[in-house]
Amino acid sequence: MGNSTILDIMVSFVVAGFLFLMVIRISGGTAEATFVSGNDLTVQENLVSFVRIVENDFRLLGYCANHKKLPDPLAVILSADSNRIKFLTDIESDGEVDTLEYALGDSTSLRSTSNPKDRPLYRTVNSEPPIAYLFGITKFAFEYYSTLGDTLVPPISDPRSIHSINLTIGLESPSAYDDKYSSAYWRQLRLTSRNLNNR
Amino acid sequence: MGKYSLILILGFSIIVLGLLPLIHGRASRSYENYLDYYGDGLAHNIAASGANFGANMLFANPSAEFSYSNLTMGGGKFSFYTTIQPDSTILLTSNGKYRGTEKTVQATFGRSSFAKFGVYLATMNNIYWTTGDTVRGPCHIQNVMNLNGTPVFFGKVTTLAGTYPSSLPSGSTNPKFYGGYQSGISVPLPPNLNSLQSAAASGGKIFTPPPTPTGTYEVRMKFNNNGTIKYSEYKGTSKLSDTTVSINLLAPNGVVLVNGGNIRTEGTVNGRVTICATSGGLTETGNAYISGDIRYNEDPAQHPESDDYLGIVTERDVTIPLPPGFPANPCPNNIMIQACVFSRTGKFSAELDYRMGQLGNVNFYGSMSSYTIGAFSASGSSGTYGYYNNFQFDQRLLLETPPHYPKTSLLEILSWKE
Repeated sequence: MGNSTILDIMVSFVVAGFLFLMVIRISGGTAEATFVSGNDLTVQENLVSFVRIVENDFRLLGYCANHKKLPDPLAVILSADSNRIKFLTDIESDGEVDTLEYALGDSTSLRSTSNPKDRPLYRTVNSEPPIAYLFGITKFAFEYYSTLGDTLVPPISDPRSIHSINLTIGLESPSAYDDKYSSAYWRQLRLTSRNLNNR
Repeated sequence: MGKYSLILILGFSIIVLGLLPLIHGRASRSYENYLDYYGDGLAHNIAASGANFGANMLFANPSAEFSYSNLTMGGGKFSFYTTIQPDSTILLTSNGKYRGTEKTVQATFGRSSFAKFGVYLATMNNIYWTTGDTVRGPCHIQNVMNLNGTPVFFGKVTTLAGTYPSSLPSGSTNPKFYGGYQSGISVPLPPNLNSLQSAAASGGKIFTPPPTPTGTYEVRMKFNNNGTIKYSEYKGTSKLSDTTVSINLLAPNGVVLVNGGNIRTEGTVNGRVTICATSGGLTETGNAYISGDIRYNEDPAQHPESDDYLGIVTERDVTIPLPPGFPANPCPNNIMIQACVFSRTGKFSAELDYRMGQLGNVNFYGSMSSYTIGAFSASGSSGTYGYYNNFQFDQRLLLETPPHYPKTSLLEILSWKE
């Protein structure tokens, strides 16, 4: 066992140390990438699913298959606040007027997740028990505009003055990797149902 | 040691290679998800665009029946067509397709009535809506809408030629359009009242002046709360007839027309009736005079289910006259009018005299359409005289109208499903 052998062993240990460090780093990065990509995908799928429901509901705002049952387009929105809205619609297109309400719950209502910001969103049809959407919703905010484009400050005392609506939806993953939550946003500028201003 | 290092590297390489498809697969699913949503949105937008095409064609030509298919737009295709429904409404259907995704938009159109306007004016002349004025129900000005201060409009406001001032708000002029505002909308008055004439001739009642005696022909109609109408024909000062009959018997379709004469009316209406005065080519005819309160037997303000409707349609003016024997016989302090008033070339106003003094309100509940705006009060050296106007829109008119009440030439969107 000469000097060269001892040198080989020492170099081997150094190389092995680097390799271990690389492996640990790669392992951590892979785990993070796997977790984050999974969270990103889940959040995005949740957002798309949720937005499809919301878009469908808001496109039917003020619609009734029997138009004679909703003669006044100005009386369609019953109440409106920054994260709550109640309006008349015909969900099943059966000619019967329905009342639909969206309301964002508070952050203490949904504590089965580790995300402190997510909240349940309640969708209530007529007088049925509300359905809670647990998509990891962190933002469900309305802005309302008058016919001249002025911003109306919620709560809106006279919903007849609402001409168009801006809705912003934000979702986050229920759990985080290294305190970082995956998030996705959707915003519909000037969401206006044709039934709101049709006559 | 070198051998073990190689094994270690190979092992982790295999693990990473195994995970990469998973990560890439998620990225692909995420992208597919995005593409699905994008495709849905695009198909919907294409269908909505087709519906807008069709709607514009219907607005331009309300009698149009059409069908177009496989038109190209935004990388997709759309088709749209109209169907006349049993209730005479028009159903417009538009289908949009984009890469296997198909979306449908359906809109129902119907012909609109002048009764749906709380206030309709063909022209405002030099009159302004100003602070303190409140208009309920839809409002249309077939010209420029003059505004000053902060008048309040609770219904949708439409104009043909915008507002004066043209840009709002402007200085102290800041009207409140709580129901929305849209300019560039043309809703012209009909060129004649032929449709009512036809309705009166087929299932209604037409009064025509006899050649003698001389004088202006007038039919005085007093409505009774039992569904009858007491009518008296006059030619000049000569009374020609005096009859009381059920509205349904006199005019089964509810249209009573005086051709070449005037109408003088009051009473309590029980039923559905439209009374109409046409000029018959004469100069002092085609007017209606509201000589006293006109009420519905069942007040729609208290009972929205009320099925009493009265239309007062004239070629010229609708006027609240001074009472016979004025000023010895004074004007009533308040007047209640529950009706739809339509004046094709004239105005709805009160006959004013400084001796009448400051009276109460014209409490109007219904719909008012006229060529120009009329006055219910005036000011003189002795102060203001006449009536304040208190106009309320009858919400029932958004759905129902008096029989054969004049319709606009335009279609309106009754419902829009997408």
